[in-house]
Amino acid sequence: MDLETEITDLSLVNLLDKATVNQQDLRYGFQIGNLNLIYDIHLSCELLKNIPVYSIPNTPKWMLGLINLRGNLIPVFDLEDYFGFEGLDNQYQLWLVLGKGSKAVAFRVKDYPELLSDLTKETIIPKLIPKIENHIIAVYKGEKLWLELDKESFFLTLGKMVCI
Amino acid sequence: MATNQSVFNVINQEIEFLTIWKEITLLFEQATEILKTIVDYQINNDIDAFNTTVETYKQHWLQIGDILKESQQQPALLYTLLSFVDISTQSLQDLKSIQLTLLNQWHYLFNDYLITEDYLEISPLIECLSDSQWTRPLTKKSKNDLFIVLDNSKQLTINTETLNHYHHIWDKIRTFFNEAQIVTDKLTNRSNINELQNYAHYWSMIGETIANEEPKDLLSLGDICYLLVDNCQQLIKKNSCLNSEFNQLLKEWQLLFKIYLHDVSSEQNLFSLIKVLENNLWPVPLTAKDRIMFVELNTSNEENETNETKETIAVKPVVISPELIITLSNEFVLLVKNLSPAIMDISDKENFKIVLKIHYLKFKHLSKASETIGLQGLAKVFEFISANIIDGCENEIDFSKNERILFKDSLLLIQAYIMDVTNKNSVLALINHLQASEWKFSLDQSQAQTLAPLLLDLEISSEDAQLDNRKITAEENDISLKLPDEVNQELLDSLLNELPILTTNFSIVIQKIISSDPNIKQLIEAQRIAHTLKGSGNIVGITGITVLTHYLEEILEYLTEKQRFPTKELAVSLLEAADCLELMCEIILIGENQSPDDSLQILQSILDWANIIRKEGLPKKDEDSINLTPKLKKNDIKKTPEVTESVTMIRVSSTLIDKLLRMAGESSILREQLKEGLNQFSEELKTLNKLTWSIQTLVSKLDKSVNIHNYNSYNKNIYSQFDSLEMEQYSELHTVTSHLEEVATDIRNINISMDEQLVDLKYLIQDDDVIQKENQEIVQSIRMVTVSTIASRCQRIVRQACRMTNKEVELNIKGNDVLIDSKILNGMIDPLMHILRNSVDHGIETKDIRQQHHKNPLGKISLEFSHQGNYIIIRCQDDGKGLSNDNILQTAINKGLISVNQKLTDAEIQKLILMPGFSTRTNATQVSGRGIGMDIVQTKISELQGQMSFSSIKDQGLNIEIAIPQMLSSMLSLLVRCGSRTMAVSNRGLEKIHHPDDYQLIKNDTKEFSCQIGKERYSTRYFSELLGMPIAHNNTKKLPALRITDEIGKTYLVFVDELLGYRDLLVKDMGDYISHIQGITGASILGNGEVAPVIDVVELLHHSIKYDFLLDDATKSMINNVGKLPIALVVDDSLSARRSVVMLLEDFGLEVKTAIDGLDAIKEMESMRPNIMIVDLEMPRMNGIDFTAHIKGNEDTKNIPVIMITSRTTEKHRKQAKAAGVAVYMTKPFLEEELINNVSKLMSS
Repeated sequence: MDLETEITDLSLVNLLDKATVNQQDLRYGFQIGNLNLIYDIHLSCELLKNIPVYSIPNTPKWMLGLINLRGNLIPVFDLEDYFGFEGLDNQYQLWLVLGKGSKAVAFRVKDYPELLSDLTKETIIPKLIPKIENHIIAVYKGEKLWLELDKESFFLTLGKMVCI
Repeated sequence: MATNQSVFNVINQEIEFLTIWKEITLLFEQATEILKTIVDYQINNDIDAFNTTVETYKQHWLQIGDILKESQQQPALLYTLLSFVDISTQSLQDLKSIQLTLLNQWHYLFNDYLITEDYLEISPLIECLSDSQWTRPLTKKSKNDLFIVLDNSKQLTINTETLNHYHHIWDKIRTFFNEAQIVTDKLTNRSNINELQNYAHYWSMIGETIANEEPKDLLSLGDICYLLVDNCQQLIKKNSCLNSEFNQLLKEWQLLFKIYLHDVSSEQNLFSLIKVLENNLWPVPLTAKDRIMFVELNTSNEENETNETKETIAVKPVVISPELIITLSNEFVLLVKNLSPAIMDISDKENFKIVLKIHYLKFKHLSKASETIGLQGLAKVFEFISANIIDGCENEIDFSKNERILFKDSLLLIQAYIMDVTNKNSVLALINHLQASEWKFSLDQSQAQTLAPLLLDLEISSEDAQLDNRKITAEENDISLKLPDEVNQELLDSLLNELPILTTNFSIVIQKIISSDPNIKQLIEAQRIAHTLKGSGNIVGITGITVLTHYLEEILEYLTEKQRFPTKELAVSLLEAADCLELMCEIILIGENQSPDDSLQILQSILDWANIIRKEGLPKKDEDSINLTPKLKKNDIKKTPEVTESVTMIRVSSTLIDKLLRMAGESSILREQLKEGLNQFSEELKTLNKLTWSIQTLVSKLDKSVNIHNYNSYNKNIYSQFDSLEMEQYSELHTVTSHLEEVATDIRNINISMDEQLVDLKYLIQDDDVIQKENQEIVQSIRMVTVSTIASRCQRIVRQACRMTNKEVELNIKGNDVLIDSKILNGMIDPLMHILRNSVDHGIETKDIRQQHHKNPLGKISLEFSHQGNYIIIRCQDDGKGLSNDNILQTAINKGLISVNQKLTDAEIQKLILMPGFSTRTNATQVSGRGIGMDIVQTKISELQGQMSFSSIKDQGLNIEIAIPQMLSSMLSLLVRCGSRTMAVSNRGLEKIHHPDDYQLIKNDTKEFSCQIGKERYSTRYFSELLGMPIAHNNTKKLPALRITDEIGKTYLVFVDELLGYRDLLVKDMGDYISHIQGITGASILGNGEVAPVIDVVELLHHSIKYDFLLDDATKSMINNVGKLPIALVVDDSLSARRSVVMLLEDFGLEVKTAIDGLDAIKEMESMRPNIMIVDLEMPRMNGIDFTAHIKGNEDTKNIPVIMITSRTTEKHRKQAKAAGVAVYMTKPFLEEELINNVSKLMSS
């Protein structure tokens, strides 16, 4: 394997020492196109760099394939492509893995996720693109408007679309 | 008679002796402990503690002396002990260390004395006490006196020889028992037949010892031993391994016998042994009748028993069985026979008295036995006789002729009464006789009046009476599945293992019995299973199972005996009972204890049948009841072989097995990587070899050049006067060259050695490969279950669907023995149930229509399981009307899925039925037409990475084929190169691999290629094309080809870019989110870490039909609705009630959510909206009525229909529920069909 794989662990354990804020208020945020998405800090996640992705035939092009993460096969998506945003250049080889074991899923991100605190919950949900509107648990306001992603339902839907 | 008397004395002495020695041994053991403390205190110089302990020690010896005094046994020993206490009283006050040694000596001599059990050999003890080192040793006189007493003791011992004879017997028994104990331990470990044979041998030796020596008190024990041997022989004959229950039973037997050996006088100990043999686990368990016989046999020998009432194991059946009366009668006749000679011999008065003394207890036992079997009056009569005999013997009454006649007549009258207990005249005659004044204790008027009804009441001890006493109404307790508080976990585990097998087998056999071609063996088998279930239920203490199977066994026993098959009505009841048993089993397995809702009704129905059959037999008017020919032989029941062999089972969590499987899989991947690495290493070594040879050649050349160079420079050398042959001359270059040559040779040698080692390593890896493979197979087999485990459930679903649709369908399951991963089989249950229900509901026509189409009125569904490569193939075929393409097309048009003018192929049309909510039915039906379609089946199958295909012929039936890959297992796959990627091809449908030279490419008229091999012509496909990848080669280049046959039998040649060879691969799934990708079975990690998709070419060839033909909106709707089921919310505080409703509704095809009360349900509804709710009335926190009112008061939820299920039957409750908004009010117990009907109606409205 020529490619150098860099793994960054973003798990809560590493961060707790640094973060003094209430865990309940902490979230990670990342961007897909112009969508600002957040997920719960308790969700297991890690960042991978320069890892080979093996394509799978008969799948939509936003399903990039599978990665071999320590013997586990994890599906990889290009969410920019799925949502119809301008795709990322190939120079962006940063993969965010959410969940673990058979529940793990990976997608390409432009930057490292940012740790967010002091978010306030919005009661009014703005108009969203159809592909995501059913998978948002809550909307939070910080410097930007953040959408909390229902990882389970979102990727289940993606999975079903891959399988059709 | 004198001999008998002395024998009894000896027996009693022996018994008393054993009891005494047990007590003495116990005291002595305590004294030993105290002695140790005495020594400690002496060492520590703790005088107070020392003195106190010495006193306690002495007290123990005094107690031993007291025991001997009371028993008046062993005077010599008694005196010795007393002497010791006397000596020690003096000595121990100021115990010197030498005396402490003496004390120890005394103590351990006594220990030896106890061990040797030579009770008369106490000389060493006397000698010890005579030791002069005691403060006050035994005087010479005392010592002589003691020896005299000892001699007298020897003389006093009555018939020592007889006693020794008994010792000899017991020694023998103990030896054989110890041998048997060793074998038992082995049996527990290895459970093999040879050991069981050994075990039986030792017990037969014990039986033989008893039979040969004929000790009177052991005769019944001998019979008991033989019964044990019989049972062992039966097991050996059946060649069946002992399971944990048997091991437990044998352990229990060994333990109880050990206890019995410790106290052979204990009647209770013997009865405990008898009780073990009554266990239904034995092939030939002890019957109640035999038990009475043993009890009688045992107690009849205890002639010296006092009048004290002894507690016996009373057999107290509710009804009086004629068989028991016969047994009693036989016993009585035997007694009369024994007494008659003495009664008739008037000359020998003494002998008559002795005979009476010997047998009076027999009357007492007969009295007890009569009482036990319900003959209360007769019991009193025997007591009367017994009392008169005792009085006569005690008061030295001279038994004159008249008294003897009185006695003899009473025996005759009793005999007459026993012969016909319903005969009033016999009763009156007997009472009159007992009132005769000649009796010492004759009956007075009031006693006679009390006795008469007791004797006369026995009129009801007929068959009718038995019926009257029988259970008529099933009660709640009778269906209880509650486990006893102190349940034996090992027994419970065994039951949990065997229960599913037994209930399933029972269900299967009952189905066979009521099928068109039943046979008597099936009846016997069903009876056997019912019997086993009853026994198992009884052992663990699950009343529900025991009671139901008891009555089932009774019915089946009757049918077997009378050689008749059940009538239609009885068949229905039997089937329901079989289903109920299966349901009970499922409930017990998940650790619950609430009986199925309809179990009371079912038990009542079985009970009714059992009572009817008992009273008047099976009704003959039913035409379906057939008499069997040829007639069944009586012994057939016993000869029937066991169907299921029992083996010891353990329960392991499925997670652990999953882990094991994963580890086995990972190990196989590593092994492949190792092999890959080794191959590469081998290749590189070959290259190195070549290079070594090159170096060597070069070095040789260099050497040659150096030599030539040396020769040329020879003249310049200072040694020029020498010829080269006269003196060798070396330059530095020459030396280096020589070294180089040596190094090259060494490298070559190392290369050779490495080559050899590599070959060895390859062999080792090959061996390891074999072992690992075997290991993997074993691990995989842990999770394998046979199809038969779900067979009865399939049958049940078809029966249920038939009942609902009023159709007659026969389900034939093939491949019952096929082993399938339990995970896959469990995952397939729901889809299979749906397919079967669909077949009955939509496929099979009604009887009338079938007859109109000249079809057999009995519809047929065949469900076949098989393996194909790494796939499990399930085929469901029915002979119904098949799919109607016109109907499907019309429905698709009506639903707006396709346009009117669109033309679809048959395959495309049939694929439409897999769309969500697609149903050609205009109305929802109770069985399967409830708004969900085959899409759910498709989704479930996809979740298992499987695929489904149809083939249908109008009016001939539908054939559904499901192929499920066996995941988590390694499989041999062909690796191929496709462009730059490596792909694995699954072996499904792969017949052969063709070299490019094997075939001829032929271009047809449409410029498409086909291939010719021999005379056969095949269609061709490019592998890359099937995968939607660009074709790398031009069409004219010949490539390797895979010959693949699809599921409908069409064969293709599929061209691949390059063949890389076969590998054993672990096929992994792609996570929880990716269920199934067209043509991709899974993916595998190759030796170099690369991920290779595993391709199922058959699926790609045949299932490339996509929903491209659908209109856009339809596609969108399909995507949004894939796999969504209507939701039902079940709200009930009872776990078991919830579970039974959940199972029913899930089987019906709904997604079911649950809540424990109203508040919990409201919380649950925050995240989902059910389509229907099933609610209990009484629940904690918020009851069903309040909850319904809450739901109906909310705008968002008011339209959700609510069904209330409750045990409250009053109109008041009903009205309240209706007022709250309950749509349907159902009371418990309810019929499953009724609930489904209501759910179906409410959902469709």
